Amino acid sequence: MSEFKFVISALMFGALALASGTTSAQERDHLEVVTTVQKEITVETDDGSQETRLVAAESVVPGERVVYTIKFRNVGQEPAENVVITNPIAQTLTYVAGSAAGADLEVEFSVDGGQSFARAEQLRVVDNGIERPATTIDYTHVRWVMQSELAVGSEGQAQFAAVLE
Amino acid sequence: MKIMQTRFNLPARLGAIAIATLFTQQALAAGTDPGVSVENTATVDYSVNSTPQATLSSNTTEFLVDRRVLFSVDQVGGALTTVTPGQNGVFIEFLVTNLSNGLLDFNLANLQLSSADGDVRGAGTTDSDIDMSNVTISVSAAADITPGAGDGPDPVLGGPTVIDDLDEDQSIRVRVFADTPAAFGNGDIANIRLDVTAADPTTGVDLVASGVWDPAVIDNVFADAGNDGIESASDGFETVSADLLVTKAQAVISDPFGSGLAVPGARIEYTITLDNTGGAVDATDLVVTDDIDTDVTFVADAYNGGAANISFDGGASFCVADAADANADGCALDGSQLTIQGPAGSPISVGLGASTTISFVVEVPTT
Repeated sequence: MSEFKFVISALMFGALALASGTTSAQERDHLEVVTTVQKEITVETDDGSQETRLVAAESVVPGERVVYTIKFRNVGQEPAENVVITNPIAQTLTYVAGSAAGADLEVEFSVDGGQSFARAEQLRVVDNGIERPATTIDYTHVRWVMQSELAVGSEGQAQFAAVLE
Repeated sequence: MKIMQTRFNLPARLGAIAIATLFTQQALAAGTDPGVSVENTATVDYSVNSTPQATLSSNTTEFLVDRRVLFSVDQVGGALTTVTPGQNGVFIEFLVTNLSNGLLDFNLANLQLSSADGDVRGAGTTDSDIDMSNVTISVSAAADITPGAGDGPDPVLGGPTVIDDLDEDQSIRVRVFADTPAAFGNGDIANIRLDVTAADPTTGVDLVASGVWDPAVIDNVFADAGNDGIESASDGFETVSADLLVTKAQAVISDPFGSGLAVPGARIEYTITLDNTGGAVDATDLVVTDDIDTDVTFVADAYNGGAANISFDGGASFCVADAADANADGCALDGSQLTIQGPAGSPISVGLGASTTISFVVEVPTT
């Protein structure tokens, strides 16, 4: 399965690279970014234990969990600094607490439509005139702030999970 | 609910209210409707040589929310429906609840059960291997006001036979009407199963599981028991009737020789006992007929000081059996046939668990 996913990703990177090569020859992008969506399922293994697997999000019904993966790569000639990946959380989705991750990435959230971001524990909302700590259902965006430069030719990956309401 | 953070200026807060309202409406739905497109596009901001670069967008992923087919069928009421032999238009009732994430139709079918299907409503509710007649299904004209409360309009005989457009989280009443064959006896049980099949809300055709999942179409994901889009519930009818035990006794009450034998000139009292202690309901509109042996003579003045010839319950009441019931008291003697049925408007009945006796006297002719 992981090999299969790798092939898909590689193909998509290739297609995107080709497109950017033809359409923006003068101002070539320094980065490529590709997002994929998968569904999390729980299967019973031969020894009877439960195992979580990711499959293509071909069939999704309310209550099921989808996982978004954003892969980014520096295809330019210079290191990229201050890399920030931002992903809106669709209205029909609820972020799964603690699911956002990525190596060398600090995770922040927005509860105001992406205007401002903060760490999860710092977010507060006003609900019926009463201020309270934000919960995952309040999140409108998630973003990952890279803590170091993205070197030429290197790539990173950000991920988060959400439940279809 | 997704709400704005507190530390924004007034215009931002006003915008926040509008956004919050949108999100609230979304949150009210129990589940995202089938066919809703869920898209995702990530963006990347970065700098090169300390110069901020234009924001990059990723590709956009998309999937359509699929139809989660989930619903329940429940019996209504706590016991079998009691019926009497020959009673028509009786019904059992079910409640169908759409627990899916969208509108659904439901097709309905009934199946008469047998003893092999076992109890349907607890111990002692097994089918007696008899079937009701004229079984028809009828759906309420509208869904419940309070889902699950069974408070929609009563389904009536001849109503809709399928459930058309039941919204998510709504419930609707379904009745299975039937006629009770006259041959059913006390304690007979006839059970019926209602099969409910989820159907496409547009075409009304039974839903089938999608063979190949496709993120671009609404797939049917069966989340019901058996994952087949079919749910069933069973209920039944129990016949209650009078179980009348009729016995006839005779006793010589006088004879010319004091012998106690039915010798010529002896009078014999016949007592018919109608016993309903084994039944389940009152026995009403009873008609008792007795062909008096032509070898004996009906005594026309046996009771009530000679004023009556039929005695009920050992003299509790009387009537006079006369030709063609000329006195209209419900007792008649037509030739040798005695007919006792009580006067018009006041037929003979024997209450549940009670018994009554009817007596008359004959005489053995001396010649």
